[in-house]
Amino acid sequence: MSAALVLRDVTKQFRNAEHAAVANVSLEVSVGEVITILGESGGGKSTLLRLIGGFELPDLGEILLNGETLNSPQMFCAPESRGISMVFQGHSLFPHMTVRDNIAYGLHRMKSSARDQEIERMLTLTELSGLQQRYPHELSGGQQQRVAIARSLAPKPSVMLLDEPFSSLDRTLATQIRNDLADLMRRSGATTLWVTHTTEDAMAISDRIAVMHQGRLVQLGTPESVFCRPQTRYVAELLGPANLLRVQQQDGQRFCPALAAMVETELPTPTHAVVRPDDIVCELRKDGPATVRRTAFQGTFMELTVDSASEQVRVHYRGPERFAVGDSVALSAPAQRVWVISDPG
Amino acid sequence: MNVAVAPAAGYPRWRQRLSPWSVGAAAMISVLLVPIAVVALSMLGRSSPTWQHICDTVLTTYLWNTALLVAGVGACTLVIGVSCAWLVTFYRFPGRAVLSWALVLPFAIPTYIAAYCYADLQDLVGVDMMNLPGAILVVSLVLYPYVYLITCSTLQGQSGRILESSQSLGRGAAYSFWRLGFPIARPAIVGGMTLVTMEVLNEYGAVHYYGVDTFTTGIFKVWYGMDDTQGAMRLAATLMMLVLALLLLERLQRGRKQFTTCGSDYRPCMPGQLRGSVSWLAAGWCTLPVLLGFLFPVGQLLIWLKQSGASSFGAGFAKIAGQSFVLASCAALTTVIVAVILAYTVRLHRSRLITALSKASALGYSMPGAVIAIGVMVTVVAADRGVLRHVAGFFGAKPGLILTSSIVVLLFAYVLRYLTVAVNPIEAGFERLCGSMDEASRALGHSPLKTLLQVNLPLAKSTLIAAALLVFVDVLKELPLTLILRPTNFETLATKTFELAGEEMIAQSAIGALLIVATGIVPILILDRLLCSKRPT
Amino acid sequence: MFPMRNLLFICISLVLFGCSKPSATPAAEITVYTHRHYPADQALFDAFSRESGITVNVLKAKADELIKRLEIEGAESAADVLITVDAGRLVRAKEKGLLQAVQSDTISERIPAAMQDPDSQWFALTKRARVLVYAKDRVDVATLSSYESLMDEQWRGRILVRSSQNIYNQSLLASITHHHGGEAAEAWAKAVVANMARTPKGNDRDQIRAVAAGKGDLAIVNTYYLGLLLNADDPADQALAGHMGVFFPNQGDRGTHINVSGIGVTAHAPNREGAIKLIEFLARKDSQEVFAQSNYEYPVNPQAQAGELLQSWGEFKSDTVPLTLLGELNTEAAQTFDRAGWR
Repeated sequence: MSAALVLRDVTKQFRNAEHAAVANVSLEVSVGEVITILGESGGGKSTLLRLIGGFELPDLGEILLNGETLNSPQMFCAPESRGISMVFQGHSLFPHMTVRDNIAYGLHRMKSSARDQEIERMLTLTELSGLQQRYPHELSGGQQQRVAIARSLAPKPSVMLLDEPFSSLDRTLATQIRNDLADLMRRSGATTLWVTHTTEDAMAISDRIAVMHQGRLVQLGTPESVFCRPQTRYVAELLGPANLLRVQQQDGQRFCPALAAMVETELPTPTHAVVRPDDIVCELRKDGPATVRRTAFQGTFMELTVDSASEQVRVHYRGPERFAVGDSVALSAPAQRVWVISDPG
Repeated sequence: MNVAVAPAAGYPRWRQRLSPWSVGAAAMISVLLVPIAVVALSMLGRSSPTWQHICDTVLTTYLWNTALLVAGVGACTLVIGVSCAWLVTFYRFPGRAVLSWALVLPFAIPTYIAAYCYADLQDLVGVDMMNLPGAILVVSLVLYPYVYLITCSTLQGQSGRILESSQSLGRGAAYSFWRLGFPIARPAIVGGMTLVTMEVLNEYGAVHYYGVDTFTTGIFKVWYGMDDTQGAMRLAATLMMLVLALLLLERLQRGRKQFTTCGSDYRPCMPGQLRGSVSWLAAGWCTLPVLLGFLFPVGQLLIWLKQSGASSFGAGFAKIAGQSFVLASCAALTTVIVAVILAYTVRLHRSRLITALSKASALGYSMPGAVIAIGVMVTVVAADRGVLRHVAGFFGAKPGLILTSSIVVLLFAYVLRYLTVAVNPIEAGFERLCGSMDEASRALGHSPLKTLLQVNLPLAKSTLIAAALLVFVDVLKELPLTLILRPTNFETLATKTFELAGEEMIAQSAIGALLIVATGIVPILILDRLLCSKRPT
Repeated sequence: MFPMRNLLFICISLVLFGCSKPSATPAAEITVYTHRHYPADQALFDAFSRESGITVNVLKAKADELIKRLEIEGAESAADVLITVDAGRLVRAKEKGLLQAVQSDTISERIPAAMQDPDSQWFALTKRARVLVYAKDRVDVATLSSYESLMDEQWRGRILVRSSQNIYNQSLLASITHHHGGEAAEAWAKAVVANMARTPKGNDRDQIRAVAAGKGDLAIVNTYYLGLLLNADDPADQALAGHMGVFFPNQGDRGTHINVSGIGVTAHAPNREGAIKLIEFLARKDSQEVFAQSNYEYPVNPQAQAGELLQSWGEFKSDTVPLTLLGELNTEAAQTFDRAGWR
């Protein structure tokens, strides 16, 4: 696949800000790819999106779309000339225009017959037929969101940017719309950059996830690789519940005291082993080295907090055993589910 | 992926901000700032002996009076303007429909006319108004509509859900307003207060007549009494610095707070019904400013009119009224266009330079009109000499001062003077739009101009009209600039009224004053019509 | 940018509109910059136009502002004459080189030499006297004598007078400065301030009404404003006449202080001949009587009769201090007022 969108060392520093909002971010997005930018709020995700959209000026770096420069020290392409659509947080529908007019807004370069056709197509695609004469405030949250998407999709942008499009919706609705939307995006074949702080969304819809932390792009990869092979503690914890267990040097080998097991790694200075609570096997054993500290019933599993080698380990237990506080247990994990990182922080 | 690369030379930011908007706005502002610069440059001149004399003798009193007047009028207009805007927007009570627009009416009354009307209160009820408290009251009564109008349009544009969500949290309406409505409307309120303060700073006629000497008195004392224009300009420039400090303060108080409400739940709030004595209290409170600021002066004027008859004004009054109306409309239109370009450029580029320049344009409003007039005259005559004469010479004519003797000077001066009156509400109006609204339009492939025309302007319509109205009525009342800069034989209602009132023929001037009021009411009613469709009943 | 283009268009069309006016035969019009905005003046200008065929263009503003405008416009100014309501401003204009000398036998015939600039750069048109108005029931006319007598302690808390920013007060103090010297003038101002019934406020009309209301017993006012008030449409104002006495001070010595309203031809007058014609016309007996009849001013042309009301106050001797001197001492007077605490 060829690269649709290329970012090279893009940096943006706001006045009076402690660290750069976006620091040296480089990224290549392939045509038709869906990339989620994941991170907690204030991590620079939205700023990155606004830089790509042309609403902020980068301090340094270049942005290219389909081989054409959008931002460089020599040039700046205005937002309206980029062929990039953006769905904003809170969707920003024009309150003084009907659904139809909102969707038609970006189709000003089309002939009216083609435009009508396109509007119909978008209304069908987003299942909004019949609501076209409504005003935004007469719609439900989900409908408003779909109008915003339809409006952005209609001009067939090369790249579609979505800034937390579901932040104003409730969770169940958001999941429903997210799946619909993901299908929609795939069908339309639009290259998509999607900002979210919800890991679940990111995992569900992305080809690749880009994790941002304090303005930096800390990891980029498929959802599986980011989840299973995080490179920092931040990524590990962001993607889901994780145990970060100490790793020691012992007899020239790496040893994880909490699991009482050797670990394999090629890192020169490994610090932690990342083990998901679901991957830890917990067995009742009278002389076991670990002690159950807390138990909590979670429906599909039992969450155990276990003291092991003076570390607390979270375990999601799905077996038939019923643990009680104070039970002696032994912990282990399959070697392929233990991922070692080097994170001195 | 995350490769550290030694950064190349930084982006030439200015080049990216170079757009027709920024260039146009900067050019417009620069032209408008020339007259102000003319005044400011007089600071650099030699210190005159009269300046020393003023410092030695009267300056302390003037400064003290100015401070008291500004504080007094500021407090009164704040209380009257905000409380009435709050009641009218959020509650239903007897007479609300009429009061909502009647509360703007005092604005149509020139300050000095109100001062004359109230001076006669002495004869009627034995209350001596001709002192500092009297001046504060009279000036407040005609200036509070600035605060009222701007606050009202902001509150009406505010999502009612914000207040409702507070009320649902168990907070009373008053508390909700104090903690939410008031802070959210704060930029607008402060904007209105800034206008009031500047108007008070350059107020001369009424306060002088009431025996209260302010800083502006000093300016005219130095100029008229001691024939020291240089000294007068220096004083005016000092006043300018004061206002600059004030503007800076206003900027700082906003801080980093965001006052925009975004999201889908934009919905005007439903006013609550007031009942029993509370509703009559509310009606009474809102009637009071209309009664004192409008009905009383108009009643007094009508009495005078009855005594003197309409003849004193001459037969040409219809023509003069029409002329004033057209002039004020042109000025309002031009000012609003310039203000929209400015406010939009500020929003588009978020450049400090443009923002600072647009703030600096407020200086034109803070200085006494007669001083601004000098700056304008110097500028326009220079333009006449420098450019237009060459053009005219090309055609073989020697027409004298073309611009100076045309109406263009007046329009230029009005824009300079009242730009801030329009910029303030328009900026607030744009600020109320969700930031991403116009960005969404840009992302859909529309140019900034088209975005402005299709998104920003329709959504900020009520504030645009409010701004135009403010400028219209202000120009209608405007006196010193018009007097000095007008072409020969050119009369407006204000100049004609002043001719008579200034010569102590106050009764004869009543017809002129009433015509100003009547002409001013027309757009107020139009405004009400336009806002009515939006106002929930 | 659409709005900008429109604005430009409006501006250009307005300029073109403006251009079209001055091209109309310039000899047939004159431009008057005047501080006098009275209906009587307009009537006289109209009469002049009918008589001479010269159109009169009028710009009315305060004298200081008009002087400034003349200064800035310089040689290109459209103004032909400057009319002010006091001699001081004409002296100022002359000092700034804004006026020019005019030799006209007709003018000299109609306006006495004392009422002219020694260099014939300006001419008085009308006179106004600064008189004392007193409440007949509270003030014995025998106690009134001169401006100087107002320093007396018997007037403590009884005198009403307007702000020192008023030109006629400045002019009065200038005359006292001329007669007695600066220090004596300051002492006079201080003593009058001490005798004031209240802080100066309002205009001359308000002073007279304050006497009627009993706020004070005696007001220093201008005959012109007194005439206006007594002929006002308000019946309450007309009724004042019966209770008020008018006293012309200093009849025993130098005479009552007068100020004048005057006219001068501007240095760069495009239509000097027309300007002179206008001055000759305004100095004519019938024109002077219009001033006197409808504007309550004393004519400068000795042949003209004062108005009925003015005649009822009787003949009086006026101070003969050269008017030019009043102008020269004006700034000093204004500063003296500040030092004396006269608001």
